[in-house]
Amino acid sequence: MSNDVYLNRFALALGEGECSVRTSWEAGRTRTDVETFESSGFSRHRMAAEGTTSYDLAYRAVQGLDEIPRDATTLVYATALPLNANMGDPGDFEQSRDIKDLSDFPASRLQAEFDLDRASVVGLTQQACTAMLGAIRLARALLLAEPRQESILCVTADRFPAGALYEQAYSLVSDGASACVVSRFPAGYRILACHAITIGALAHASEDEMAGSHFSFSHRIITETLELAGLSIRELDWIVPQNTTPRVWQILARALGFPLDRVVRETVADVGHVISSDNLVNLAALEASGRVRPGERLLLFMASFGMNWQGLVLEKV
Amino acid sequence: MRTLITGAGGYLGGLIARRLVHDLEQPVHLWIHADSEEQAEVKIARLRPEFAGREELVTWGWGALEADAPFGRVQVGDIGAIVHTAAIYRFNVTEDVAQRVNVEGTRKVMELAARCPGLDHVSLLSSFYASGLRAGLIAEAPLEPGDCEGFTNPYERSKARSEDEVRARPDLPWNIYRAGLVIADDPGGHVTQFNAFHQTLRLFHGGHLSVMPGDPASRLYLVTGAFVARAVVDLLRSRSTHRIVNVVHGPEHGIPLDAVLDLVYETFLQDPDFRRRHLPRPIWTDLEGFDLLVEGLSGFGSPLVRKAFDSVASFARQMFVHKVAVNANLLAALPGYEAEDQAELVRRTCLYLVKSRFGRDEVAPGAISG
Repeated sequence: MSNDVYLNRFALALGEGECSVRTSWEAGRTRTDVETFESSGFSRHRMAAEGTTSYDLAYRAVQGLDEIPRDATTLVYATALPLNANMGDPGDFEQSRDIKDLSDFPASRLQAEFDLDRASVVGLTQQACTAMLGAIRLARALLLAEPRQESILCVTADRFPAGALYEQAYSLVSDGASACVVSRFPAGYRILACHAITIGALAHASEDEMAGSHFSFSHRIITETLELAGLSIRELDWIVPQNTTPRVWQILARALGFPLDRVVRETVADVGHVISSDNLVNLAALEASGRVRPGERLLLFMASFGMNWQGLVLEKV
Repeated sequence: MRTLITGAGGYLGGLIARRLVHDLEQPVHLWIHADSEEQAEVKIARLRPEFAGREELVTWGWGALEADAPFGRVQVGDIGAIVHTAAIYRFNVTEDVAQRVNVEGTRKVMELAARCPGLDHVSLLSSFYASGLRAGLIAEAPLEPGDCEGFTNPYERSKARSEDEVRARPDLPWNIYRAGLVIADDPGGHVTQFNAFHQTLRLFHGGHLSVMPGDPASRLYLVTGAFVARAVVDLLRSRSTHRIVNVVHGPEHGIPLDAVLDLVYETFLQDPDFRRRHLPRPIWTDLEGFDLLVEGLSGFGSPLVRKAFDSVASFARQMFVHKVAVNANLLAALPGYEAEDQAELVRRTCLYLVKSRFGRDEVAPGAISG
């Protein structure tokens, strides 16, 4: 059995509504003022329409795949917000006091709706915005560990609850979902390395502490992920990052010795931080630009609450 | 005859005053900064116990360097020496305030010196970093304006211009003593006076700063308050004039920035709370990168963090400058000179900072061990 695992294909689904920074500021959805956000590179973000659930976004993301993976042997369903991993109405629970009303899992629904009859499900709910990279890491590990695994569908979907601020750690946030297929079939991107760090003692870090430690931890996860892939920074062609203010990359790229024009940053203005879908949003933009070539290596990485950091190195097939 | 010490209520001025009074039993006139008689009385009442048992050696004066005649009440006939330590030492002081207090204040001190009939010498406590962005050998010689390649902050510039004010009076018996960066009271690491060095370490410890502007190989010239006070008092006793002295340890003792960070993180790791957070060492950044960070923070972050970053930004350019300290005049004037162990000083200072939670808790002097 080959040890090679591939991220074959992926799709996105963003919240239907597009809002400017000003609109959201005026609606009280952000704390940071319009000028500061705009000068930091954020212009617009996406919000799910009233009535659209995170599950709806997940459904649309899977539907957007070129081909529904009916033969999937596992479905990994990841949410950044634990509340998006239950479709039950908490109000029903208050009436019934039956925890069944807290156990209406979107993964099971998705498996049923797409007739993924062979797939068992796994829920990932405690990796925050790194959850999609965590799902891919888990999928790769399953494929390497269990011969019966053939194709794994990874999904991440989040929408913020009504009344939530659409701003986290100085980033403007969008509702959105993404889906990808990980398998042994050699197409798309070969997965060269996955890596994760959790520092639980920082789980209650303030936004200032998160922002303050961002650079050294980002440097660490990137360096360690590359080491796992047996690559130096010079052998890397693209960084496909989390959507934060592009200024972060002006600093981090210098510290890493990596060319800034090879950091995919162009989606920040239009969609901001799409929770755990940032990497695939940026990968889609890179593909759409026609700039990524076979044989090129890409590093995807995310940082989030928990505190969690995850990295992934891919090679375009 | 008395030694007049300006800024005697300040950190270094106070150390020098206590050494003169307690160790040498010299009469002093302690001039403290105050804007009013009431303020002066409060400050003097607070300082007086430090001279218990030696009250007969101490007289008090007060004023504000920005005032037209700050030394109007000084009995010039009693003054045999002046040590001018009064200044604003904050790196992020504004140009205007630095000019009025540090530069024009020094001019007023020199005018006072000219009126003292029995003056033996007038000494300015300057800074090694009055050399600004000048790299290479920092001689114990005048800083000619044309030689300087600029300054990191208004404080440095004001100290260089203060030296100009002193040297502009060749008719007076002046001396200039340039102190290194004071990071602790003594080799035990106790800190009374917190400055940008400690502020930066606090940011590291709190996980608020994970980039460090600077060249890892550039050297810091660190000293203790005790060393500066002892050196200045010994220099005063040597009675030389028109002498410039770098009150720093030589280049063989200057400690590379990279080694400082190693020591800081090794020491912080002894703190269980810090260790649990697994905070990595900061990554190095060039000046442009750091400026981008500070600019990027302008609308984000808490006011406290922004203020702390501004503090680091106020000396960031200095961290790229390779200076080689000359201290031959110091060595010649200090019999039995021994350099302080810089690594041990950094380590003990960090231990104190951790143990005292950066000055929030009391830690007795000498309590840092290990």
